[in-house]
Amino acid sequence: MSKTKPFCLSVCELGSTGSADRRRVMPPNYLHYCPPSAGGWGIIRVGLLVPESVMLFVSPAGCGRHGAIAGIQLGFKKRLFFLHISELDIVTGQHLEKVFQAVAEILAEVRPRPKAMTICATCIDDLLGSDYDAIAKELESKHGIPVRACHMDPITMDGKTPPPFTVQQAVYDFIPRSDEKELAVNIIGSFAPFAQDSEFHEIMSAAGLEKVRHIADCSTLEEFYRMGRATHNILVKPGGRLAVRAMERKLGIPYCFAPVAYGLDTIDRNYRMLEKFLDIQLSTEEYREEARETADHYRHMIGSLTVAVGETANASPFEMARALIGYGFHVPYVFADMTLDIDQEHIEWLKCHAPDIKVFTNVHPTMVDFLQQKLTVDLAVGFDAGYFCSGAKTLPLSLDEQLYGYRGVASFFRQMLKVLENPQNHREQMYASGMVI
Amino acid sequence: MKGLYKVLPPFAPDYSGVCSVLFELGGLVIVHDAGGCTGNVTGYDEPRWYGNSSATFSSELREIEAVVGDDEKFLDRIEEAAKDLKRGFIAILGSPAPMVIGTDYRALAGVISQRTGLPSLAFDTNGIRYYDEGASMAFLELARQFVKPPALREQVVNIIGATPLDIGNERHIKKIASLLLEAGCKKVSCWGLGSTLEDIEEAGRAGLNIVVSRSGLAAARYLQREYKIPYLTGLPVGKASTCHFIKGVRFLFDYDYDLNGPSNTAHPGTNDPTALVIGEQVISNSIRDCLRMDFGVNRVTVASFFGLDKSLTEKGDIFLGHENDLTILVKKHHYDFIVGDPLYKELLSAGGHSFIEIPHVAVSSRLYWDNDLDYIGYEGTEFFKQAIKHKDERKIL
Repeated sequence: MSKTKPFCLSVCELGSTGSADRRRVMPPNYLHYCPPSAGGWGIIRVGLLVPESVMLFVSPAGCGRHGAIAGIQLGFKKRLFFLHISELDIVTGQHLEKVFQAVAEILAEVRPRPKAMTICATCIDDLLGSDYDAIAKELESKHGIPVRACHMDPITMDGKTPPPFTVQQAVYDFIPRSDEKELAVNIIGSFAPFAQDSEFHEIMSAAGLEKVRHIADCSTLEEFYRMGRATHNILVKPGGRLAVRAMERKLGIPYCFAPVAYGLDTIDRNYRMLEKFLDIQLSTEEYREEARETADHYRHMIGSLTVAVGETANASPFEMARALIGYGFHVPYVFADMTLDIDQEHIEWLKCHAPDIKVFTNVHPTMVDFLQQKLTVDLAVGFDAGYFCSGAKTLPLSLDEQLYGYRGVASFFRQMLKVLENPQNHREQMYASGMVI
Repeated sequence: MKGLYKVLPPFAPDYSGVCSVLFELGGLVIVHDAGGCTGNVTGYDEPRWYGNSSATFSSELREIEAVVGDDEKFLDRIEEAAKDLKRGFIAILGSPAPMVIGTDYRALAGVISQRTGLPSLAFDTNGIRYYDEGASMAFLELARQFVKPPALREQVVNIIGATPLDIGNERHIKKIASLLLEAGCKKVSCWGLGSTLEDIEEAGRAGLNIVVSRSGLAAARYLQREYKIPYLTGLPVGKASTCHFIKGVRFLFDYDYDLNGPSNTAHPGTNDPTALVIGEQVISNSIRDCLRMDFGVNRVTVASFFGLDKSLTEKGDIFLGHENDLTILVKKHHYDFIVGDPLYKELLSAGGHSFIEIPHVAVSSRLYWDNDLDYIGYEGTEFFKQAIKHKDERKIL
């Protein structure tokens, strides 16, 4: 079996094919490789962010397997139910009738009784043209609890409404319109709230904005509904884009995109943007200075490093590469499958300042033989970079913790040092994270 | 209600079974799906995936291609990959979405063969059926497409039906192989676990096939019909069963004819202890033999969510069509011991039984696939002895 050179582009070659906000790194029309490091939270786990809710997953048996196993690993399986579709169901459409029976049985048995429910459909129902929104409405009136439909349909992945985006829209669609408004902001797009030590809360509080809400902080549906009273939404990860647009339409909450970043200048720009959006003054200078000192301190302790950056990290890989180069590290490789509109300015910066960066995609078929390349770096950020640079120490920077702002940078450096001093087994750590494609 | 799963995860689907069989054979394996099905295989049904260069891919089917029936993109992608990656054959597998649009995999495989010059296999999987059916299809297809008519017969044994989805750790197969070598076999070839496509091409020379899961039966029957290769079904579990297994192999190889010794035929008394073994049929039958022959637990029922072959089924064995069937079975009958995947425990309420955990990757996936239980071969007796000895501590209620 001969080994093939992996597909790779220099950062300068990154093209502009694809839609304006999402472009594939790989040219179209290739088979897709699925490395062990592929995946994230998955549709089910995101859908179950709705407090006090359960999910009924309606699909052929195979479709829900990864989500269910991850659910057992991570503890959300008790809120997850599967209705398996048979071939006969598909031909006759009977499975849509069975949804009603299944929901009735779940609501009759599960204690405490769920206060909300999501019905998740898959690719085949897209092709069959099944109307799950209508089913959700009927269930809602029948059982007196809010019911929403979401879709785990990767068949639509290249379209305008791919499932990682639509599921967040479905999640926030539970929030009813509220006439009662209060000075509060919602953080949308991330699956975890900002880390406790983030300066964000202090800065907002000092500016008179006491209430910062995130879905994962809400333990009840009522509390979650209060997000509908907020005056502003701050989108911090691109996956929440459809959700904030829909919230603007339905709830009248305007939004601003201030994405997670690790470079001090980019963070500063985010805060300036938020000042305009919120129409308040934000005192950030002391935090910036603190972050700069912390970064210098750790950079001195850590010394020179070569770092590969991957797409599974909780960051834009191109912004992260730019930030790391700014802190004085060498970044030879980036692993990314998509470039987003927010990446473009960082890609342009890298073209000027680090044109030798090689960009690999996780999914090109030639990546199957990639480990033969034996790329050597000291540190890999993201499970994918850690997998493909197999000798490196890996900092997962997972989606389970949301670093943000200046103290996010400090936290990143602390995590980096910890990993360098006490590296973990990549395979064990990755499988334990319950990532789902 | 039927089809509603409140406790168990969905089991490994048929396409995972096919992929598992083909994993080590050096082919280009393409799941015709949108990506998620392949993610199931690679992330949750294939313990060998990490660090391996087996070429299993997703076709990345997209809605527009499905709606307009554009197979050309699928074919182009495969052709392109076949140019980049030098592999020995191509296999295409179905998933739910292409099933809905009635994709003709055999026709596509024919076109692929013409365009690439490589042998192409087609599997009409759909993600609705379970892994055992997919694995069965794959073993049979390997036998049909690759096994050459033998010029001579040798003291070679093929093990058919072994995949990590059933067998778990590869060490179990190595143990069976060493027992077979001990019994006088010259070479052991385990299809799909440690063997190459070339080994399978030469499999017609074998004097004996050992079927270690129901998914190996169709291929073994085909080889018996076509090449007169006899087969034995079962795994050696425990001392008595292992002795019996070795004797059976020696008998079929004509080394000796002494088949006397312990038999696994039970004549249960009504006060005998009872056991329920839940799992893949051939493996569960082998555990039943061990419980009977080594421990005198004569009243043993096998229950399975996966296919049961009539010829291997005893009176009282039961197919579990749905999650509730297992709960009802255990409520209806008392068992002193229940053997099965740890995930079944939650379905088994009162009963005062002792639960003996033997993870089944097709059920619990990565949750326990690194557990290394030593129950194959002579050590099986000690494994179950420990489990039975601790009955009181291990009671789930």
